[in-house]
Order: sequence, then C-alpha cells, then structure tokens
Amino acid sequence: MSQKRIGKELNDLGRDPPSSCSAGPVGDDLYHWQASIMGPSDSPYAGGVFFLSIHFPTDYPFKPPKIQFTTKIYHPNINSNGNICLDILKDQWSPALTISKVLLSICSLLTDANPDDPLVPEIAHIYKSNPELYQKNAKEWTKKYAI
Amino acid sequence: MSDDQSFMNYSPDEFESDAEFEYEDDDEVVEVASASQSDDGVVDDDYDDDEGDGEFEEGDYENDNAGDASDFKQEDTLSTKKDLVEYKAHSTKDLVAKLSAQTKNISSVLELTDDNALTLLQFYSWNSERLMEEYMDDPDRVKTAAGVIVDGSTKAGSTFKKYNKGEFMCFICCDEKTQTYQLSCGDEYCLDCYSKYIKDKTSSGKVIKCPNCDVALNSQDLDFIAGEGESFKLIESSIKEYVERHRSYKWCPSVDCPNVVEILNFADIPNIVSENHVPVVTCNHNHQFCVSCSFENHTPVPCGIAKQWVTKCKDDSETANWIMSNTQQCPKCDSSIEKNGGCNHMTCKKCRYEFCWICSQDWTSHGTSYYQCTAFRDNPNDKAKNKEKEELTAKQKLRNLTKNSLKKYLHYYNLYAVHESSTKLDDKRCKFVEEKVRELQETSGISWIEAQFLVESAEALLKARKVLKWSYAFAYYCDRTGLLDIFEEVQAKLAESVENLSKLFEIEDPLEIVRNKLEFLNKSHFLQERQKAMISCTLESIDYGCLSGKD
Repeated sequence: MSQKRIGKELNDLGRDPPSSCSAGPVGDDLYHWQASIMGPSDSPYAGGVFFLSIHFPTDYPFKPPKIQFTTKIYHPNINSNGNICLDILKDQWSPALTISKVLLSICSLLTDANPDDPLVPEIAHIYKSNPELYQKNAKEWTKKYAI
Repeated sequence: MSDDQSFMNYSPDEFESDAEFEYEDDDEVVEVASASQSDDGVVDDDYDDDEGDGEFEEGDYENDNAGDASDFKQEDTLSTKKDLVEYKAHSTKDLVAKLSAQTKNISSVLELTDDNALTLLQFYSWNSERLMEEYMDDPDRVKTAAGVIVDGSTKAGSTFKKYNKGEFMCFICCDEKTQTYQLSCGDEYCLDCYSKYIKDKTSSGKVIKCPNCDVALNSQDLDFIAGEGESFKLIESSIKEYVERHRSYKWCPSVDCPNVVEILNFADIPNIVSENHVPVVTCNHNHQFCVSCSFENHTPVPCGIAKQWVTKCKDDSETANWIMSNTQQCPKCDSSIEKNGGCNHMTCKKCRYEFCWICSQDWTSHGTSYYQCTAFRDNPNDKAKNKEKEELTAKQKLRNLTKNSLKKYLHYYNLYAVHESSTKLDDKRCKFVEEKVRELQETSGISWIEAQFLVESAEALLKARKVLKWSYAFAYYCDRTGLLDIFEEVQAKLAESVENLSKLFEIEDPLEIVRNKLEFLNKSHFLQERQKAMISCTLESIDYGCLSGKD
C-alpha cells in the first residue's frame, strides 16, 4: 500500500514540481529518496543548494518519513548530523501530508527558525542575542558547504 | 458493546452492574485475599467471589475495599500513628465513571452535547477549570480549537459513503476504494485508512482530529470507523492524562497493575515523610506501595533512607557484584585481581606480591607443597597479622576503611538481595496457594473459609519478608551503637520466623497441609508479632538517633 502512495507522490512531484524543491528516489529503491532545497532568497541561505535524504517507513503514510539534511547547515533547529526538529516530522505528522508539503515546511523553517524550541541551543542563543552574527555565520556556512 | 454500555451511560451508580463489560478486574487471588482481610478474618457472607457470572454488587464491593484499606493502614503503621494516609483505592473502572460524571457536569453547565463536552475535556486534558474559564471568555475560539465546530457553525453530521469501483481514490493509500467516510469539513478517506489512522492515535488519550484539518472526530465517528468500543478505548487512554494531571492520584507501581490510588490528604504527605513514617497505601489488587516514593512498601525504613539505598544499589550493586564474584583482593595492596586462567600462583601486577589464589597467603610459605592448598585451616597467622596491622601506615588505614565500607555494603546488600529474590519465589508460591485452596476443598472436603488460613499465612509471609528485607537496608545506614545489637537480635529472630514459615509452604500434599493447619496459624501469628517488634525496634532506633544516613 505504501508503494502505491509513494509512487503517486513521485508522479505528482514530476507533474507539478514545487518551486525551489525537488525530490526523487536514489537508484531502484522507492523507499529511499534524495531531495534538494534551494536556499530561500530572503534568508542567509540564499544561493545555496541543500541536499536531504528521505527514508520512507514501510507503514508510510501512517508514520512520518525520516528526513535529514546531508549538506551542513547553520540553523537553530538542524543539528550537525542533519537531523531536523520539526513538529510535522514527529507527533504532528498526519497521513494527509506529503513529501512536497514537508519540503515546503522545511523551506519556511529556513526562513523563519524557531529559536524557542532549539535543537542546537548555541545557535539559537546567537540567533536571539546577536542576529547579525547569526546571519554572518549562516552565510559563511552556506558559502562553504552549499555552493 | 451495545449502546447502553457507552461511555456516557457509565454513571457511577450503574457501572458495576454492567455484566458484559470486558475489563480486567481483580483477579481471583486478590479477591480471596481481600476477603480474608475483612474484619477478624471472617469472610463476608455476601462477598460474591464468582464475578465472572456478572452479578457483582457495587455497594458491597466498595465497602470491602474501604475495609481492606483501613485494615492495612492500621496494620502497617501499627506502632506509629493511625490513619496516616487517607486515601481511596480506585480501579480504572471507577475513574471511567468519574470522567463520565465530569463530562456530564460540563455538558450541563456549558449547555453542550455530551459528545462535544467530552471532546472539549479531552482537548483540555480534563482540566475543567481551565476549560470553563476559557469557554466563558470566548466559547467559539475554544470550540474551534478543539474541533467541535467548523467555520463558526456547529459541526454537521459525518457521512458514510459508498462508491462503485473506479469512482473514488483515497488520498492516503492511493487505492480505489468503495467505502469512505467524510467529516463535516469535507475531507474524505477510505474506511480502511481512517480506521488505521484512528487505531494509531487511540493510545494517546487526546482528541483525534481529521488528518487534514482541525475537526475533531466524536465518539460516533470513532465507533463507526474503527469498530464499536474504539471511543471507549480513547477514554481509557484519557485516564492516563487524568491521573497525570492530578498529583493526588498515583498509579500503583506494581508491574501491569491498572489501579490508581487517590490520596485525600495529599498536603500531609511531606509531613508524614518528615516524621519518618512511610505513607503506605494498598491498591485494589492488594499491592502495597509508598505514595511518596512510588515504590513498594519499604516499612520500616524512612523514605529518604529508602531512596538513598535504592540509588546506591542501582549505582553500585552491578559493579560490586561482579567484582565480588570475579575478583579477589591482593592481600598486600588490595587491588582487585581477576583470575582469567593459569595456576594458583598469583603475582600482583601492581605490587609484585606473590600469593596463593586459594588461601591468599604468601606463596613462599607454601614451600614445595604447591597445589595442596585445598584444606581449610584456621588462620595460624592471626597473631602475626595483628602485629602487622599495628604497623599499618595512615594511608593503608584509609585504604582499609574504603575496603571495609565496601565490605559492609556488600554484607547488607547480599542480605537484602537474598530476601528480594526470596520474595519473588514466595510470591510465585503464593500464587499457587489459590490453586491449593481449591485442591484442599476437593480432596479433603474442608470448606473454602476453613482453607483461608493458607492465604492468610502466605500474605503474612510476604509482608514480613519485605520488612525483613528493608531492615537490612536500615542497618546499613545505622551507627554501630549498643542499640544496634538489640536491633540485630530482633532482626535475626524475624529472619528465623520467616524461614520457618517459608519452609512450611514447601509441603505439597494437600492432606499434609490440612494436618499442619495449626502449625501454619501459629507460625504466621508468631511471625506477625516479630514483624511488629521489628518495626517498633526500628522506630525506636530512629528516635535514639542511631540512623546516621551515612554510607
């Protein structure tokens, strides 16, 4: 059952791709995808291309997909292993969500971080106390790793 | 489950008479046990043992429980104050009834349907006050947030739809399906996906919402999609929320025990604890536990000491056990040495001292009689050793102190652990007692009431062993004063009685058991007396300031 659903999502992505995101299977395995997100222009990540790996559980879409950044990124809600702290990837997941919607959510997380619920407290602290430094660091990392 | 068994009809007055209601109730062992605890050991005539048949009178049951509780209380806090903890034991059923009553109350106050009131309460984690407050402020906002209304209008009915093949594709599974369900929000999914979705969420105890928006599924939706009784499962999970929300409610910490205790004088608990009393309660399944520690009944040890001991055991026991069973200390420098092969001629890697693994003596003293060090001999070097001891440097003395403290700990820990494992064995055996009682009735023709001595003895044994077990933890934290000798004497006597009674339970033959009835009664009575003595001795020791609490 999950196969059909993942197949349909892949079709929809091909037919009507969301702006600034793309996603598709790595090799023959339908359950393992790679995705890319263009850094939003109104964020310090602008100009960068960030890659993510997506693993679908067998009981998808009842359980959320596992999504990780494979490109290093300086962000209060994304840690050095690329794990993302995003409610819809955890307890707020719903089977009515799709990869396309999730990627868009991640895009908006890049624009608007959530420093009050941080995965990397140090970055969150800088984000709140010294926004200029945060912007500078994020831009540097983007230049270094994502361009 | 038919309609009249739904949650909302679960009023406190009638719920117990619900015969078909499937619920894990007090198992038989407990029923017998609690019956035996009624006043003076006389079993209530109207106590209905055979609950499986369904007739079970609520009033009697409640009274029995109340009786039990107070009996236990008096017994446990015997030499202390009476009525230490005021509490009420609840089964999960009682709580379901309570929640149902709360829902009815809210629905009448806020003029809502029961269904909507239930959804709101679940959304507010059963915090009526907060719900009422916020509802009075802005009812529409509250209702929208909880998903009771959509776009300002009261939620219209949901619809079950049927399609021909090829007409409908479910968004979740992407299959063509013929049976679907649509909520008032217009989102529509196939029954299979909906059902799986709901079953995944039931255990959360929270409001289940439409996968795509905030509209809440009410109990009719749940029951229709996922099968009768699903909404009830959600209520059961809600109880978890409820108990966690109310600090005066405590789950019974025993494994798999679904019962709850409501503490009526919750504010007094810190006082009770600070006076070195143990706030013990008994749940509906007859498990005793301390509400302050959420841990088994650790009478006579005060809560602070019990916590200290449990933490210590958690930290140290594994390592200490391993060290004790796998290593020996070098007789000279006290390093722990593990022997992983080879002969008994050991050379300490640290101080190069050569000694015999078996007798720990200097290897040179073995002369040529190697490998003959098997006979146990009185230590001929005692005198020499004493002399040596006097020459110990301050450093060595310190090392010895640590070693002694470890020794002391291991000594008491072993005693504690032995009784802990024995308690488990006793527990197993006592579970067979029920069977034995039945066997007794069949083979020897004695009545059920007459056979109760066995159950009572088993109870007494378990309790006394627990007291004994904890008294070792107590002893560990005591200063060595004159009073401790008395304490240890009382302790030894209790240990003796425990073992005596425990031995009696090894009798297998039912007829033999009947023949030994007097023995059982005497020994358990004796045991109870000694248990009382142990508890009062402990309390006296505390009063005299023997308890140092130091490791």
